[in-house]
Amino acid sequence: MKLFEPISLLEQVSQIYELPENVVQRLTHEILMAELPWKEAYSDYQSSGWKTASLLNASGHSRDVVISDCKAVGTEALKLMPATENLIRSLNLDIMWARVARLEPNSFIWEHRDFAELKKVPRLRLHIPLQTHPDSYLVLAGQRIFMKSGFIWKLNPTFPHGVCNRGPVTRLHLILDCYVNETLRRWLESERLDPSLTQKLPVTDVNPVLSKASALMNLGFNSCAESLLLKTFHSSLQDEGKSYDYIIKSYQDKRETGLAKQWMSKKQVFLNQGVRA
Amino acid sequence: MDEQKTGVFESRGESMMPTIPIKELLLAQPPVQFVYLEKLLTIFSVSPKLHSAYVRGSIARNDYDRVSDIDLVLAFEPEAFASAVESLDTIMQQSFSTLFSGWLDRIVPDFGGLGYVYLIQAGEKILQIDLYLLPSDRLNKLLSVRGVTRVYENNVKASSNSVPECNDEYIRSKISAPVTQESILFEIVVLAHLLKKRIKRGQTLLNHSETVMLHRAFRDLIRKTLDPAYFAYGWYHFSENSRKSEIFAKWAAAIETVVHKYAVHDSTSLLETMKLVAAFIDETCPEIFKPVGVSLNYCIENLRRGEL
Repeated sequence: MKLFEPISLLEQVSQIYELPENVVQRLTHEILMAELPWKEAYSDYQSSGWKTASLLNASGHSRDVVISDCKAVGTEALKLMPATENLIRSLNLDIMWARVARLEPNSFIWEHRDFAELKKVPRLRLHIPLQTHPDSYLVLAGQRIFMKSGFIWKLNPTFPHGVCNRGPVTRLHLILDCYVNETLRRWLESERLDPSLTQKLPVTDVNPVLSKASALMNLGFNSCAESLLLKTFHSSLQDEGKSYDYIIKSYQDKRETGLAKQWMSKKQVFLNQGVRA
Repeated sequence: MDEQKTGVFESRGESMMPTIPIKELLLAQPPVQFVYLEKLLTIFSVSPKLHSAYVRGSIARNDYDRVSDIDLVLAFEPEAFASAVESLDTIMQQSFSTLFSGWLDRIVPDFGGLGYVYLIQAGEKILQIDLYLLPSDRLNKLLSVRGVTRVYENNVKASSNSVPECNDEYIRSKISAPVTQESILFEIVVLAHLLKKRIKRGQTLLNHSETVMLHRAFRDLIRKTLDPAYFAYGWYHFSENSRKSEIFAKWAAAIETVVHKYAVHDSTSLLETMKLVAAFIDETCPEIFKPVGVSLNYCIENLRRGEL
């Protein structure tokens, strides 16, 4: 019997550490009660609805949420959450940045690669899902992956990925960007991926979506059309960058060359294809 | 009395609290309907084909309360009307957490266009948005209604090619399109939402009217699923035909009990009826439950918490 997904997927995402349910509950409670100073950053990369608050970062200010290489210090938000701080400190990880992230219902993070702007040193992103729903899922390697709570998840975000929350509740994750150290290396030795949490995306006919987008553009609803096309990444199996190609092609068909060029640049930046905006 | 209150605040050291005029407080924290009305106008006014927009109903009359819906009329250039109607679901789904596709509103007065009801998730609550789309060359009927207020006008007038005949035909085709199990279910969820408001406001007669509509919609769902050949017959032949199969007899008995028991719904009976609808779908047509089940379960969960 095949216990784990193929190695390529495991390289990108895995469960690396199990967390007791009461710890997850305690952390969730703290975050819900803390009235964190949520900030929406990376707005080009999302539909809106993805907000974060930093717990460990370069400045010690929770509203500084754009990540960078640093020696992380605790923020004022971390002081409001002793159980969360205890857990983070007890893990013995070399944390570069720690954030709480909330993804509201009907919110999407578009296909992208992370860490391009950072130093080329071994690092990984760890997710600790706290409040979630099977319809809030990560998309990568043509799979939808439900990051179930009760685990610390590893994500290598240098591979193209996106996220969506099609469920009814706000998704809350604690995100730790870490330099790879001994602890993390040890955890990686026993990483796994429960196949029941992954699902291959179907191959779908994209033509009806393209027609809808074209009609929206004819009426002037460009941003609705763009969202519709970007979301093809989250629901159907397609090649890297295809959702951006659909937008570019749609604008080219409408002879909107300026908008088509804008999206070519965005595609290159979002997917780290060598050119900066 | 006022002096006493002031004294209490001062003793708590709260005399330093800044005074905010009510007008500013209202601007800073407007009722949720106004927040969403503004969002809707921002979304739709990007289209050069939108001619004008109007509010009607309780917001226009200024007698809204915290559970009131938003009634917004969008007048599109005649040649863009059909395309705007066809794109409406997509625009709403891209912009809001909609519970389901727009339900073709069969309750709204005829202003010469088409009305659609949406239920959207607005924070922890469900908000009802009634959108009425019509071609801009037939605004007269709407503008004759008292209280209708224009909230947007496109200053750049498009050169319009009037196509009234095509729009008539299009509207007729939409109204006469056969209902589906899904559209009946959307109607049921909308009616449940309306009933919840009637219960909260103590509006007995409207409650009765919508209770009857809810039961009729449940019957339609049963008929569409178990006896589609007789769908157009309403209650006629319902009991007789139900004797032909065990499953039909069971659900005919269930709806008869509901109709007997409730002339008006309260929160408990409404929840019970919606759970019955969910059980019916589960048992007889679970395939429609997959796309809409989340919405129905969410609706039931909200009813349970008294938040729909």
